[in-house]
Amino acid sequence: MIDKKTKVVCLCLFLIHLIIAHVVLPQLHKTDIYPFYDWNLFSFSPQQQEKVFLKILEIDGNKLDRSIYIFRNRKIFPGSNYFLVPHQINRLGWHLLKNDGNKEKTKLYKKSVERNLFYANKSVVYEIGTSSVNIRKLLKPNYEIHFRSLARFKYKERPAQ
Amino acid sequence: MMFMGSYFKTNRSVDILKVLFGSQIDRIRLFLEKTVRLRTVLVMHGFYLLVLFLLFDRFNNYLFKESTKVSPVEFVYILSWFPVEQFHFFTMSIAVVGFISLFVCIFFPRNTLFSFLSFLSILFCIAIESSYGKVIHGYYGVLFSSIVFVFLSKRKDRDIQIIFCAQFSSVLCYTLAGLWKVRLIPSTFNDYGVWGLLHALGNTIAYEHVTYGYELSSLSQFFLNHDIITGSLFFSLIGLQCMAVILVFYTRFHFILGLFLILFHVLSELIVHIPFRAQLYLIVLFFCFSPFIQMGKRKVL
Repeated sequence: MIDKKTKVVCLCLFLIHLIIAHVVLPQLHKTDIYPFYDWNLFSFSPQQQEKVFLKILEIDGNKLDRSIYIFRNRKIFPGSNYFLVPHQINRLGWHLLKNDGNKEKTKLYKKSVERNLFYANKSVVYEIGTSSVNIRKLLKPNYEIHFRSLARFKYKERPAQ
Repeated sequence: MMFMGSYFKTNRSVDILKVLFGSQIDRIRLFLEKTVRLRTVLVMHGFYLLVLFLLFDRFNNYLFKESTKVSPVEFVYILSWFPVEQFHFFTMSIAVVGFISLFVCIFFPRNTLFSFLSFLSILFCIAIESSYGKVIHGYYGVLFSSIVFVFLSKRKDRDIQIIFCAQFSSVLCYTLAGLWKVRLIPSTFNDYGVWGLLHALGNTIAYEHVTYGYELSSLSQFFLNHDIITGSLFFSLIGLQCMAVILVFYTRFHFILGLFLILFHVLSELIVHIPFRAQLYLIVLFFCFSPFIQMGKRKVL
């Protein structure tokens, strides 16, 4: 039923994707060149991981007794439900950590995180930092995060035009 | 008992169906033989209906976004230079062209111009959606299948070949993902030992819950607490993923392959909260309604 030509086309398709995903993209240190992807998805996650965190210190002028982390408080910041927010926080953190002088990129990520996350607040003081955490223990509410701050920002609502 | 006896003697997969369906098996075989053409037509037309349904939500979502300056993928990098008004005009044009071409293709899937326009609109739509900090790779199966459907010609006898290529394109990603896992086994074993391998899926479950702030369900908690079960499932998944492109060539396994892939996506969504809906629907269409499903055919393609 399936002729030889179709089989050859399928084999070529597979080889092209295989070479791009397993040779070209790792060589370029990239995960994707649209529309190709390396498909290295959830291969092996270690238990101890370096993660970026966003910590809130002050909301609308009120200083918090105990600083709050976004991932544990989705109800206070409904914007964190938007699936891109964790990725944008992550990118912002790694840009700050690399400190590669790409201030424009950092500014754009900062703007998109603030727009998505703090749209319901007048002003927020927050910190971006990294920490090496046990990913399983992090699910427990009392697990303490030893946070290394990278930058502190102040978000202020723009006056309506 | 006679049935069971013959099953153990011949070990033919058809005999399992004989045990299950008894005298109905001939009717089912006849039904499957009669509906080959019907399933071919269903896959061709249904594909565009499915894409229109899937992209409706996407178009709606990205039309009113700001320009893609945050993290544009290479393909639409030039769009980040344009002011917001022109960016909106461009996205609106893609939406309109996409809607018209996909709608036409539902009825006339052999029309090369409209199927090519459909492919282009899917390509741009996913590119723009992927330009805000995360690549939307869940739609890549749909994208690669849409390229294949551009080659549908007026020759009806070639339809089956095109559908096979589309099926193959839709499962490519599983094998590529599986091969990465196989490739990383030695280094993970050296760094973390056997437990590192067995804990991998449990760690992924925890990682996804932490990243997106999901509440831990009792099902997720169960898999998190039982690393032997989770680890075994993970290695079964690696086997299935690596074998996917080979199993496509064995048409008698199409339905079974489809069922296992559906099970994988359903469990991923239930346990790890990873929705791969577009890919899930595509697998249902391509493998549960595969025109290659025929009972009693044991021949390898």
